[in-house]
Amino acid sequence: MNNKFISIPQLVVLMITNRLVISITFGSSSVGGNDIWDCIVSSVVVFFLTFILVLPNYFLFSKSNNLDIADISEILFGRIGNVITITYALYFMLICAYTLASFKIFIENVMNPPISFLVLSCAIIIFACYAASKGIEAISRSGSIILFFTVFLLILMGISLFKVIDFTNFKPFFFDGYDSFNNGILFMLSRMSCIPAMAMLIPMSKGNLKQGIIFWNVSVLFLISSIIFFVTGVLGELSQIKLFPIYTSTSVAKISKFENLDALFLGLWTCAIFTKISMFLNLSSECLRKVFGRNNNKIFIFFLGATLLFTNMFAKITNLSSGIFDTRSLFILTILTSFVIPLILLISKKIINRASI
Amino acid sequence: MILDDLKKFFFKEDKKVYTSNETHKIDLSFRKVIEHFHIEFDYGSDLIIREINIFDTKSCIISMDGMINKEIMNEIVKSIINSEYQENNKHYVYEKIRDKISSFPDQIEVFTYEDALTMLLAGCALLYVDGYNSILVFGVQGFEVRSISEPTSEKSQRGSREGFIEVLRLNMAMIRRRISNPNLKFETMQLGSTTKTFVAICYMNDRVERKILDEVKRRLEKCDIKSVSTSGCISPYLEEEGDLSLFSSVGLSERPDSVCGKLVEGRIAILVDGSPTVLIVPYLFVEYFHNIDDYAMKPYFASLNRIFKFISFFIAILLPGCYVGFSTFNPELIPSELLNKISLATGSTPFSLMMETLLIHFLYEIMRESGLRLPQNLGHAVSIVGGLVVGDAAVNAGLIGAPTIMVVALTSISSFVIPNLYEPIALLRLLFIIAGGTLGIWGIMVLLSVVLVNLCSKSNFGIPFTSPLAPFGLFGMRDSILRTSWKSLSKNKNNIQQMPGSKY
Repeated sequence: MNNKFISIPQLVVLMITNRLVISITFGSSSVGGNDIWDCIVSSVVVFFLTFILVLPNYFLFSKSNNLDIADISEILFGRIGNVITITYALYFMLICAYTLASFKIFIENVMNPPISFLVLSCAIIIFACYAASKGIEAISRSGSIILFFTVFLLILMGISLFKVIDFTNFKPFFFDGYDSFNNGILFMLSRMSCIPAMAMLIPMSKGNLKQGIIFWNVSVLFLISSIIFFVTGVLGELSQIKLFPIYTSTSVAKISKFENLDALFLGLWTCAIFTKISMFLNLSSECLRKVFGRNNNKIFIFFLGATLLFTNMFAKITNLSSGIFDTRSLFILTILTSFVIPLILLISKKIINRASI
Repeated sequence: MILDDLKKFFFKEDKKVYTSNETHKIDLSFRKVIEHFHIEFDYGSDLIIREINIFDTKSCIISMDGMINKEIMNEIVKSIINSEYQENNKHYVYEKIRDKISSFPDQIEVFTYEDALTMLLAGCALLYVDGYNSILVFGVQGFEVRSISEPTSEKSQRGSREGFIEVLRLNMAMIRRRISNPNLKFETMQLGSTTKTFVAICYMNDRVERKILDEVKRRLEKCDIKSVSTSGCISPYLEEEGDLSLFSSVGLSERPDSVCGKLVEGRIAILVDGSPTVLIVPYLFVEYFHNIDDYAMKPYFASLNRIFKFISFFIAILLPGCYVGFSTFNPELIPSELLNKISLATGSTPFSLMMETLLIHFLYEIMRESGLRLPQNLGHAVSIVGGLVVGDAAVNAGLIGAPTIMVVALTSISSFVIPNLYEPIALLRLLFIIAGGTLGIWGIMVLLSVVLVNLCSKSNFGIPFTSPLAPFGLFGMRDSILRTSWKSLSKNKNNIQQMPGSKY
């Protein structure tokens, strides 16, 4: 099966899984600032900003007869439009590399298990290539099952953590200034890779897009707010010095005789990472397929997979992966692909008014 | 009636009866006819040609050894020989036998050697009268068949005790008896260029999706197999092209009641002559966890049973891998008391935990395979030797830890809960042990994701294999992991083509 159409609930599943992977890396050291608690206000602001960012994509693709960013840019600008498509392909690959790099930092700096990260990341990339070759529908279907179990486990952990929450950890908002609030907005927006992904996913989707986007955004707000609430409540000041405070707080969770449920949670996080990398590999290969006018994207998947594998090995030797975490560069790229390019295409579409779009 | 049926599908509907479309008319010469049959069978010993004289007219009865009911045939021959004939004319003799003497209901007339041969091979007896260019065929099939009994692999507590047997026609009759509806249709064809095995496609005319039916026929017609010795031979031809999944989207059943239930839901059953296992398409992943008893029980208990089966499936594939992975890389996940016992038991063994578990699994698979094919008494002996002698001695000798034996035993029992999934379970179990032993929980999770993608990418005849779980559909969930009451199940049509994600 290589079905290229998905339903709106499947689109929502993919986008929530996408955000879930990023949410776990949330922490004072990655966001910057003194108090992660202020980020709860940032998440509310980002909630509204997301609606604004989604608008160009929504208007450009919701009635585009299944034409994606590659098709529209080619219709509007001819072969020059391929530059836009390649930009998207590169951005999607960057997200794959970023996800893998975050995973690497986490595994090597926090968990430090007696396994080789190189072997693990190679396994993830190879299997993600396989998943990407199976098509976006297969990824979204498996993603929905993974998301179900992840949400189930999150609820379970929420219940187990609720009794260890210290309510004195919650300080008034902006108690230590506005740094955390500002950095929180920048961090969340810069990691909003699902909006550029919409440029490829919306044309593949069938159903009520408006409802889907609202549901996704509300779910993300709820997810991030809950995470910040639990991390602050359980860890308090400790959350500021921990690289991955969410992991630290899950390690406190215990159900009956079973303690240290963090490993289980991280297992599911691995599944989410796998889904995210598969999805972006598939989207990137779709962009390249359109640029090169091929019928099958499998060759591009394996080319991109090999590139990612090579980059992953190369980054390990030279430690280049640290550059990928620069929030400002990521922010510029995300805004460019999620808002600026779709807006330019939308305006061009209105001006040129091509009947085929 | 059976003969009419046979003739209809052999000569009108089915184009695959003969590899060559050439037909040869029956000779007028008695010797030539006998010679023709002898040459066809290369003077084989199972071809029986009994020459008789009917009112001084040379005739012969042709049959295959062991395929006819001799008592019935005897009665027919007696009535033919003992009748009175007024004219000593070959044509008169033949026509009198055909129209007046033989009152056998399953009697037809064939005019070519090819038709006669097909009938002969189907177990009919042929009567040739010298000088006449046609042959009378008597449907006197009477070969020995196994009695109808409960299938050992699909036992039921409250369902019927009948199971399919090896004879196609009797299997068809078992389905027909349960669905007294003219919409139930059988279409037959022959598959296997050498064996020419009869295969029946069975469906409900008013419920089946035409496109699925056409696709089933197309795939079967394209099937270029030489020998169809069992239904498993044509099963791969019904799978999606290029499908390398461990799981099969072609269902199997030996129970007529179970097959009838599927037919009513718009599915198609394929019956193969010589095999008691019926193929069912399209088939969903959740159906592996269903049992005919589920529908006889109260819905809440049936749902509980299904949940247990799902848990058993996950135990069967994941438990040994998790045991190895957690104990080696993530011991913090195991309660400390249990971890102490595991480390005490496995600390003194010479092998690593992964090697130990793999070793026990290999031993278990060898013992299972040997026990499966042996006579029952010897099978018990193998179990005793395997379970008590090898297991106990290995633990006492300090070669293998007792928890490992327990994990393997629990896994094996769990895998028998879903017998139709044993093959993928056995393979996945080994893969998960290797993944857990090399990459810990991360390896297990990555492999689990791959299995999920593999399952979710599978679709057969336009129906997603994982429907109604993914893509999710609340309506389809009425009879999937949970089962609602019959009042709710019978309210609306719940045909297979209405499953979420279906192309139709």
